[in-house]
Amino acid sequence: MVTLRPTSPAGLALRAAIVALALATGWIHHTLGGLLFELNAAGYVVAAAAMVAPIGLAVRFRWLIRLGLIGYAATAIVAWYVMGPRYDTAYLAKGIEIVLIALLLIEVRAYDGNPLRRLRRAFGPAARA
Amino acid sequence: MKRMRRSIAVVLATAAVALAGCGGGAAAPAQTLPGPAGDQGPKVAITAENIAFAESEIGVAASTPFTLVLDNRDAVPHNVSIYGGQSGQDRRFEGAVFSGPSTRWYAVPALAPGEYRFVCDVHPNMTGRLVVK
Repeated sequence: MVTLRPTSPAGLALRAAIVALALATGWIHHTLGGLLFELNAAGYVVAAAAMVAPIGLAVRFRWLIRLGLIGYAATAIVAWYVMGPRYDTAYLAKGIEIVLIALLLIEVRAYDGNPLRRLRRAFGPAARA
Repeated sequence: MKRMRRSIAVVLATAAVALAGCGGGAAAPAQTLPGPAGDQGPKVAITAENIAFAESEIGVAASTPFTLVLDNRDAVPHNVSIYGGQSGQDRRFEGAVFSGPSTRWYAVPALAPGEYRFVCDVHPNMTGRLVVK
């Protein structure tokens, strides 16, 4: 069994794929025009940057950025499922977002452990005390 | 490495299943005619520009199929769908989405008299009134 590490070739490839997929779906949303899609695109670009920014705060809260990006992509998928429209570019964007979520879940599992426990530790009563 | 490969396989399988599920409930877009040669009945033109329809209201005759001409002057994708019913949410026609600048001819089936909404499904804020009488 191989343990995934952020600096190993597999870990670097995984992170690069996550950033590339976030930028790709961000670009697709940018090409759709309209304020909502532009904001959506901006969100993906910011999240992609936060995934690799070598800033102390971003590194410390990478686990939260991962969870946030999972929630962001999942919301985009659900919103599309409810409102549509169904056409080729939309299917491509949603396919990218599904793979993005799956890759993020691999990182969560490898680096963060149980996300609920992590959230409780960061924001629960013990953290406040 | 084996574990990693298994994870990637699971990811790809999940994506395939999820996308297949998304397509299940979707109605196929109605036929988009290649050009004026395929016209049916009277023609109604709509222009899409700057993420808005130029026309706020259009009218057609009841019980007569017609051709809806969408002139998409934006570089982004648009379409025209027609909604009606009591809730105003029942789709009566779905035009195929296409990127501009370009023009498409939609063959719309006959509609019963009444008021409908025409909407761009990509940008739901793009909307207008279709009066059938």
